Amino acid sequence: MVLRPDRRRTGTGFAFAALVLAGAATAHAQPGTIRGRVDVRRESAPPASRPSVSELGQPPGSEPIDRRRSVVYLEAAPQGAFEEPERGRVVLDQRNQTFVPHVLAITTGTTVDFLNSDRTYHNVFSLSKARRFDLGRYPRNQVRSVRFDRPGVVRVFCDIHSHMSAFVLVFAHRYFAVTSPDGTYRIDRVPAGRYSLVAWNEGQERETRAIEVPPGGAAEADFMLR
Amino acid sequence: MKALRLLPIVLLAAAAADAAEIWSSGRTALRIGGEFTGTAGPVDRGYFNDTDYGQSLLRQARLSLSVELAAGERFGLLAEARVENMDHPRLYALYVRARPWAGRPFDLQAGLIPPVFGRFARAGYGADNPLIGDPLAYQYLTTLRANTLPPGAADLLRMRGNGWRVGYSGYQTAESGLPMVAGRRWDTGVEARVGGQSFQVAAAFTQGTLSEPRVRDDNDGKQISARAGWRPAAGLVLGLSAARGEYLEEDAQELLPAFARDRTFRQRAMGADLEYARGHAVLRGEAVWTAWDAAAATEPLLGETLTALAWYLEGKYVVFPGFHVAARYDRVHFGDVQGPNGPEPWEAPVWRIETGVGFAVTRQIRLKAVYQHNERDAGFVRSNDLVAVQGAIWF
Repeated sequence: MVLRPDRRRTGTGFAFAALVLAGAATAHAQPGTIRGRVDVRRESAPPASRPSVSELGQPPGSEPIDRRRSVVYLEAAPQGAFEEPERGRVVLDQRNQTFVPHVLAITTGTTVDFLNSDRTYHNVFSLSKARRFDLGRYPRNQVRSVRFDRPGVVRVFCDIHSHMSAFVLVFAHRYFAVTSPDGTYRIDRVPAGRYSLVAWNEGQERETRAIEVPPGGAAEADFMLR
Repeated sequence: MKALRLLPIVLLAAAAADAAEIWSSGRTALRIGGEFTGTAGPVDRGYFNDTDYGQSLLRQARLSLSVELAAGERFGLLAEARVENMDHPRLYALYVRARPWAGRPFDLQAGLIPPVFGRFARAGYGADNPLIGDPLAYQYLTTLRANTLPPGAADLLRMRGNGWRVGYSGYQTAESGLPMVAGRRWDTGVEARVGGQSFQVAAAFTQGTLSEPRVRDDNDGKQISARAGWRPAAGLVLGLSAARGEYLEEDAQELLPAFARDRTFRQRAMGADLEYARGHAVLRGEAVWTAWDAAAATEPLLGETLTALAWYLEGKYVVFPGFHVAARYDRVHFGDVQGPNGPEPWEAPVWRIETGVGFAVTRQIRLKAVYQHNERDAGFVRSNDLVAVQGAIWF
């Protein structure tokens, strides 16, 4: 297992193993594809703005968040998965008091650039075990960066705007995908073999499926998260 | 009462669920929020931290629940109720909010409304206060009362430093005096705000005054208050405030000599506030000047003006994620009145320094510990050192 979500947030406890091998994977076979759709039937309770009782008027609005975006990943990664480090950079924007995207999935070693596109200050922070940080307050068009070296779920907030939140899922392998707006996903170049495939949504809905990826072929797995 | 004791557990569960929006239908949504704080400290024998509800801020369990029923983006009904030290619940806010024209930054609010004056009283949630105590301008009780009169200057001077329990000669009941600004009680009326993030102006027309907010008017006088806020750069906010209203209650007016009963007795105030934030540091400061027309049974106090000037400077620094240090330096000076021995300050000057640390166990569970040193020039206890700890959970 390569992902350890923050138990306090997810409410689901995962065991953790540092080294994971999928015994059935055939290292030299032609890789295949996993594809399917995640249907989120019950939307998670959104962390909406707290009642703005002490404001002198309507507070600025924020962008609507698509909370149906899910992450699908292999619970047990194939042998050799950890030898493919992808130390990239991605941007997590703060726009109209909303983190965009709301769900970000990355591999360990990736640096996330937290861009502030709003006219007001933001103060991005996380108290998650996988990565604890506080970027302080910074103005528009400035970036503060964080490198994520440990796998897990990192819940990100703004210290100034309590309704802002995002998830950064950090994997030790590359076999994961964030679903598209219609719920579909696709994980390519998966070595043939048997795996456990997990669908995750907002740290609460989670379902595991056993699948078999044929050499050079595709395995399909649909999920329905209630 | 037993049910109230269970509420923290309910809040804990709610916080874990992160559930703020509990119902929605179309464009209508019902949101709730809440906070429970428990503060423990030694007995404050100098009553430096007493509020006008007669409770010490350093020994208090407080539960607040707030509700917002939003009908689209332009209309809302908001309320907040508080229970302090298991006393009966008090309504802290209850008002309607309207934005008459969509897309235009003009808002109206009516009911038991948030104050426009100054900065601190609108810092709604406990997390906005890096320490435990409130600034003196918003909490410290002076020896002036709105519901009775001192016979003269000598009596007023005799009470100096005893704002927590003011009993002038000839009157049986002793009650707490007025703070300069009641930071934990809101006034009733209407207010309007215009402007965006860079510059905004707000004005309110209410029943009471800064020191004595009211639900029902009992002196036929209204208060007008206003604040202009300017954000010249991200992280810097400057504000100027002013207020004027009648503070003396009708019953007290009847105690005045006949020739003074048609006078109006006003509280006037001016304020300046600033907040500057950069990186992991936040600096805040505020100055409040106020003057009450002195109401007394005899001259020369009757006809004088009782003035007070308070200011504080507060800093917070996040040392590492979830852990901050903070400090506040706070002073109140009082103007002179003509006493038996010549001009003297009508109340005892007071100052306080409070330092503390805060730690976020989780985003919604925070712990604080503070050390506080208080001093004033009169009263039974003129100086004390206090240590207090606080646990807070919000959702």
